[in-house]
Amino acid sequence: MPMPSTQIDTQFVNELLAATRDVFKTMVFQEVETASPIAGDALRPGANVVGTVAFAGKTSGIVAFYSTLEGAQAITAKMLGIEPANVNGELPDAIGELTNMIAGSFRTRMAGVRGETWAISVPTVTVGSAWVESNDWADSGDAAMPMLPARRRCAGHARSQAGQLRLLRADAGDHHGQRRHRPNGNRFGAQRGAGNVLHALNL
Amino acid sequence: MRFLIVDDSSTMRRIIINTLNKLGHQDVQEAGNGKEGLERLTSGAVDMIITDWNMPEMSGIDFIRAVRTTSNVKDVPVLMVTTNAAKDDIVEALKAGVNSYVVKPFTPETMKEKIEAVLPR
Repeated sequence: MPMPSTQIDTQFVNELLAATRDVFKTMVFQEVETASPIAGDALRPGANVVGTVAFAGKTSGIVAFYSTLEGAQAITAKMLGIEPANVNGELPDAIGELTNMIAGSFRTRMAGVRGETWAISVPTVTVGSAWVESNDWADSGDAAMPMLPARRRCAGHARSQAGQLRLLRADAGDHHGQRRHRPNGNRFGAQRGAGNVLHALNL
Repeated sequence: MRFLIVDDSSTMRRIIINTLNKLGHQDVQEAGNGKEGLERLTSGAVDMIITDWNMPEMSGIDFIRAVRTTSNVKDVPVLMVTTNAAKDDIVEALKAGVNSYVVKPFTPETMKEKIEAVLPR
């Protein structure tokens, strides 16, 4: 039965939190501070850096990591073992990899607790400000996010010291048991890089 | 020991290099995909390959299959580092010729264990 739009699936949130903590602890060498999950369409994060990974299967949605530019620079520096002042062009790739690891770990955990098999996209990272809102991405033919659900719900998010992590989800009854699709050895979706996900940010 | 790291993410290459350096391994080459990895292998011998799965141009699986059919490098141990943790994925990788498998995120201790497990005794 579909959930009401404001109901939070605690299992999703808990597994996402666990995946986030694990990735931050092992790859960023930092603990994650968590806050209460936010239900519904409340709170638009004021972020300059957004990493997203879409997933599709019996359940479909997006894992999105939001951060300030300063936070993303600090995370990148920790991951690479360099000083934040020396972070330059590495930031999009690092945040993409961070989001990819969180989404991948989340997928593994959900497969363990629910037995669901999800395909996930390659990570996409947008760095910038003054984003344009849009509601028409689902019909836009935008190849960057081909599996985004037309009806989406915010299930919750985790908040790190440097940024926020939000999970969008929607039931997708037509994708039961879908195996990961690897055209050319890759997952579906867009390339790692900037500028592909503006439509996906309208929470 | 000489390592070849094949990963399209410069971040992951750097993380793996940092990890190998911590473990005392300094001789590390890099490649951004399987095709580049094969080119590196023709220009110099390596003792171990560490590769990602999902990469443009040539995936990690196709790269490993190519390595296993190339006479001078077919016996080089291969460690796959990926977020693909499903049982089917691991079976597919092992069938392609992977010696061991590291699921991201990983710790230096895990990397050390996996490297030691696939080294010739």
